[in-house]
Amino acid sequence: MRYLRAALMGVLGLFVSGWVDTAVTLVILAALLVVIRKAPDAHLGFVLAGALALQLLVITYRAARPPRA
Amino acid sequence: MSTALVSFAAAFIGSLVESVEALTIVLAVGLTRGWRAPLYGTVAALAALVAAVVGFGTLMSDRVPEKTLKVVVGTLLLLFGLRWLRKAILRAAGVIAMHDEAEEFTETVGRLGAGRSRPRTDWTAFGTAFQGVFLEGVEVAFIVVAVGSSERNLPAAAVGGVVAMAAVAAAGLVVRRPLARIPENTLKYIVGLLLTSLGTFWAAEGAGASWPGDVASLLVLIAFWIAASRLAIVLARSRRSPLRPSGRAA
Repeated sequence: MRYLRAALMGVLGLFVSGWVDTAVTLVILAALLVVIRKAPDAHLGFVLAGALALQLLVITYRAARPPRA
Repeated sequence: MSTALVSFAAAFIGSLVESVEALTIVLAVGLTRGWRAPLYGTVAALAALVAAVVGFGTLMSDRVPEKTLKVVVGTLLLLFGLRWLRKAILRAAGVIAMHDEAEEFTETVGRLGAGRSRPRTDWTAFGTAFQGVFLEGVEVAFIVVAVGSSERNLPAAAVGGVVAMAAVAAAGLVVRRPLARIPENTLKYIVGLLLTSLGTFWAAEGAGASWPGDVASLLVLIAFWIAASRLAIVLARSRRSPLRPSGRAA
């Protein structure tokens, strides 16, 4: 049971680095995938990449913040 | 360049990194508590992983419609790839410590206690090896199934994963100590780039997007993610706090 729980948490941990960050990624993805469905020829895939890259910049910049005194 | 090549590369490099980490655990267990139990644990974990890859890979390739599969796999690859990329960026910026196989080895040896008496069936050794190989292998299994099933490239991805694993096992047999010289953090960064690029490509394609130049866009995406991650490293470095432990490696 212990190993099963560890395995389950391990699998979950593959996709979740932080619940809020993961939720934001999913919201960005869902929103843009809906827009892409409506305008498939507008090359919106690059907009998706841009939005996710912006999120990555924010996440890593925030993580590098020095601890408050 | 085709998605098969990128799938092979992602599975090969991902498997290389994770196999090095699994090898460290098995070596630590074997050298401190004898080889039989950790080898059984390793074989059991590998059998479970092969069953998972064959089962999920076949199921996803045969039963799930292609567009749905691309959206689901693309989304999972993005979450997975961004997690690896984030960690690689923070390591490169000096925010979290680099993963160190020698340190991991010493820690596992200390935890298992070299001099303690052992029962005939050493379940601790079996369980430690099984858990280590299984948890590291789950990431490889996911990469193989995800990058393999979406474009029907399962054989290419599986070969990439198995070849890397065999190479690491052979190297481990020869040197009998952790492979600390393998540039794990750089390799993880490359895998993160490949998976994030593939994830972006497939998620959008599954939703119906057309990519200019089709698969050639994948190269543009890889270049884009390299540029974005380099920028992230520069920004994080400029704001860096003192080093903190990285916790469990990605």
